[in-house]
Amino acid sequence: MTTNSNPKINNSSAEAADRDIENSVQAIMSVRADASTIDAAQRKLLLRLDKAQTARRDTRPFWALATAAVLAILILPMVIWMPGSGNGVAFAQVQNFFSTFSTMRAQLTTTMGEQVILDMDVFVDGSDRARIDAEDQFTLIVDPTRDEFLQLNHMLRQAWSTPLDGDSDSDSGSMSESDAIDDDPLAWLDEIRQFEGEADRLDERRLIRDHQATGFALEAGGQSMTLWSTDEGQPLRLVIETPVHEGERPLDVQTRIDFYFDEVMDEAIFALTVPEGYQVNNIH
Amino acid sequence: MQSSFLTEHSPPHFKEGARAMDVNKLARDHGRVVFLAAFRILNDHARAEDVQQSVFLRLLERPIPNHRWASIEEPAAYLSVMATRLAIDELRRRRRWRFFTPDEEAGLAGEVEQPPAVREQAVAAQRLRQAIARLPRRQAQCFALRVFEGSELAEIADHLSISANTVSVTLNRAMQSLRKTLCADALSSAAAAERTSGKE
Repeated sequence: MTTNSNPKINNSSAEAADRDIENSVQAIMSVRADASTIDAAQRKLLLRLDKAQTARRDTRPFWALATAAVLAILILPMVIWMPGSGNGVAFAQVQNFFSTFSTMRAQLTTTMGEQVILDMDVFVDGSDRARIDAEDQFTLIVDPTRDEFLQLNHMLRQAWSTPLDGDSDSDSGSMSESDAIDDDPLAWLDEIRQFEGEADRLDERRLIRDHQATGFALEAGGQSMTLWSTDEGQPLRLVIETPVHEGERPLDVQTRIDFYFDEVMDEAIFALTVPEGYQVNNIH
Repeated sequence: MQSSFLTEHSPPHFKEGARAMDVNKLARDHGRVVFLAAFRILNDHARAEDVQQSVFLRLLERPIPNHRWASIEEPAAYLSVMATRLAIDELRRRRRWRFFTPDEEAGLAGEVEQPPAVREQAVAAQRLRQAIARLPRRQAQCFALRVFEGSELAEIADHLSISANTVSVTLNRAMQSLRKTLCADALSSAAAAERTSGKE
């Protein structure tokens, strides 16, 4: 389109273009889909939802608990970092461990009564790269340095690769689809930020992995937690009581997380490489 | 971007009390609205159906936390916005694969026995859709939410997690781009018509 130095002409062509757009918008708004097609789509939608829900029923408890456990470990540093949540020198030292580690490994075990229902290993490094392994069922690898999130379902041998940044598209006209996903994999941060916690030092001491441990009781996210740390403030163990109900009946679900700091970690732990034989689904 | 038509065209938004999210009920109550929101943008039944299903499957996979859902006053409007955003993605994706799909305007030309006014409207609608597909994603989303969903700037800002000021600037850019594109289209159509009449 050529530019014209005459403002009147420019204004009139802009007005004409606006009228064009307005007419086109009206044309689009007046489009009517065939009623029988809408009804058919509606029927298919309800069937599809029904199927999807049936398929999810078997796995829901596992995923719900896994999510709770993962959230718990991610919540913890936020609870501890929260200004005013500390209660004495030891707690400030605990805070320091969570904010300055070069690597952190956490072993999560969730039990229902006497039964172990979930075992997970979490690895985090100083760049906030994280890997979560849930037995032989799934692996999640988050790499903020590369804006990538890899999910591996070992049972289905499926891999999903997703960009982390949900809003990176600029108005530059770039064809990047990196923000094609509305669901931010880090949406849990919103949840975490709403938590408010208070830590109360317990009188009781325990022996954990050959260390005399001091306990701190926390309430966060509707969950009761107890954090055990050494006298130097090194976190050793977090125990979380998860309020889970089966109908009206409360279930005794407890997650225990053991922490190990500054271990040497193989770089391969955070590799975003899809294992051989896995079907790759890129969500870009 | 102050043209009144930007605020005049919006589907009905149902005022409802806040409540916990029940995806099945939402699908039953608002599935049709969601379908129509997608259909307006895509003008394609099958693709609108895909978008409709994607909206509710997403909610099933990633339910909106109760406290957030409780703050949403108009579930139908919220779902329509989701559909609009997904439809915009689909529209842009389709444009990228245009070499492998039939030319839709050519398709329109092939439709038979339409009154000229109806045909003209259909062509105008299709041209705008194509122009929207050529916009950067954020501009396309802002424009579609504003004109097709009748969303306020603050609502768009909230949905897209950007500031209202950015929405305003983005809408202005979108309008400028659309003016340019549609003017260029009109000029080339006029030139083509002139050539045709010259031959005759």
